[in-house]
Amino acid sequence: MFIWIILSSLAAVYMAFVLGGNDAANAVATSVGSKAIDYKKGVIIAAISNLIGALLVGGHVTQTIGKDIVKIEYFVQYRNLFILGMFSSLFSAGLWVQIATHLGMPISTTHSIVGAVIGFGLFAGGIGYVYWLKILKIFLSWVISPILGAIVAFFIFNFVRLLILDAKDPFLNAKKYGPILSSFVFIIITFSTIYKGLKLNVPFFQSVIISISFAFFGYIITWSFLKEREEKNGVYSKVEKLFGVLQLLTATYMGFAHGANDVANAIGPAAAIYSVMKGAGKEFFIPIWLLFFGGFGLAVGTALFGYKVIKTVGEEVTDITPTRGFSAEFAAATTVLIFSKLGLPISTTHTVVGAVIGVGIARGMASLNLGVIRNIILSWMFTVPVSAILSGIIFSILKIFLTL
Amino acid sequence: MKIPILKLFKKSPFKPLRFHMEKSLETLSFLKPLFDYLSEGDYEKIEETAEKIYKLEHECDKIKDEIRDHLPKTLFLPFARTDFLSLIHEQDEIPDKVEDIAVLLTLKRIRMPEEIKEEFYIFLERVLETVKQAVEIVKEMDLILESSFSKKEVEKVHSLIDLLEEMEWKADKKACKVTKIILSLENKLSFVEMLLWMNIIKELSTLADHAESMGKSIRLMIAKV
Repeated sequence: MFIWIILSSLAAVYMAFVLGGNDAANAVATSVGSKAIDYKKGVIIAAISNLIGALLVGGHVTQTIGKDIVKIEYFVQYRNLFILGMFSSLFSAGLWVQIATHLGMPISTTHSIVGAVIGFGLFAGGIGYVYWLKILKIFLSWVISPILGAIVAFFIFNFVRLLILDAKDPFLNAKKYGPILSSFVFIIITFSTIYKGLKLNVPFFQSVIISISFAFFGYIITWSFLKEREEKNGVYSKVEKLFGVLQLLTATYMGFAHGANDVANAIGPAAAIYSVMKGAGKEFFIPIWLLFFGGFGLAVGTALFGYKVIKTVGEEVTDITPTRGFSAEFAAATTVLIFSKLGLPISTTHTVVGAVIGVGIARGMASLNLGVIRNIILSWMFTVPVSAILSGIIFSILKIFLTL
Repeated sequence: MKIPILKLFKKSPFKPLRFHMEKSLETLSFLKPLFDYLSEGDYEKIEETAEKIYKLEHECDKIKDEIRDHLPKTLFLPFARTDFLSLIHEQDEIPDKVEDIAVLLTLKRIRMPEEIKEEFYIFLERVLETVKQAVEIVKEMDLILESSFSKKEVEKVHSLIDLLEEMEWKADKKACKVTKIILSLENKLSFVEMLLWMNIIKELSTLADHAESMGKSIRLMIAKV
């Protein structure tokens, strides 16, 4: 029976590969697009931070995909069916992502895997086998996450404009407020890692204290990085160069958040299979090695297949500057991380799109194509039913073989 | 390679606008030589210059069309799309008007009356200044965008626009003066010459008018949302 665990883990790592190759680029798009970091650094940062994010915070969403969509306890007597179903889900989601990428559709892996798991639940048991309320929550989070990304980005960018760009000496103020912005990143990453983590669980008060000390540490580091910097040419381009340094941090932040949310798309089904093998009813197990495999798959996928995508993004996105990229990235990463802590699988790409539009609403972007919003909505409407039906069909076919 | 996020970012329409502006300025730079040749009586040079102007005007038109083609309704800009479109429209009037003037000068071999020479050159200079001021304001839009409409940059552009309006007013006043001189030469100039000169003056002051309208479009573009 351990063959199942090995097989499902391998499938998970493969899925993580595909994910790293396709999605990681969107996460660091605004950093490489603003030329704050070159694509090589982008690849390295994305790979490492994805791995760390997956390891430290990846458990929450993994649990949702594995246990909160389909009622595991109904399958305790039919373990084989459940294993088969999770396999079909993984397989059909992967297949749909490949097809859609080939067709150039902007679909989300998250939507595919959620749709696929729902599909298997419905085909295997029927309407009563899935948690509709949880599914509704997930659907709502897909609508809310890009909007929240836009709102946060709007405020962050207005903060940057009001306190820095609008100031008498923007460069001086950038040096003053840059470290504060960076300490926020530190506080959020630390807090989300230690408070109510699946492996680490520090009580609220201690978590706050530790986060604040990390924030202070982040403040000092950023301050020492920025204080000696002298730039030439142009009031605003000087500020942009300074924010280019800060974008190293937000790129890491974004990669971390991406790993935390999207690793579940790859390892969620595998974790479910593992848990069922361990004889779980209500309990759910996510072995740390599985999180590591998932994160590792993301990192390797990014490094091997993602570099080309990241390079293309870096070359073709030209009209975003570091202050804008910083605001969008900060907002998107924060949103994705919040939803990861809530255990809600959302699309990183859509959140980034929302955040960039938020900066646009704050009059920060020269031109944006709002046609993508229509594409995003179309991809929701398509992906969930298609991958659900696909996974249901694959499951039904495999079931025939199993009962032979 | 098809990457979803790439679809979100469109190239700023301001770069092609700058390109169009440079071509327009190139066209404008032929305006003064045109009148120099006229006072020297070098009609062949006028023909030659007019040809260059026609070519440049056509190039400007092509750039303008391209900018318009790349402004779909789904494009999200930090200002109203219509204000930007009217800015291109007004900016495109620069080469248009220069071309019209070149045409007027090639219709018939007219002379530059000694009586208007001094005042006319001052008038011409004022028109050119007004257009150049408008162009400077368009250049300032880069800083507006970079600073994301920061208050001090917006205020700076506002004062530049005020200055532009004053320049246009001065050019208009001069136009009046030159017209009066032309009309006083009724016994000296033929009817055809009179007609052409009146048209030349009219076209030149419309050129200044359009420069002022560029300022108006920009005023709307940088207004508070």
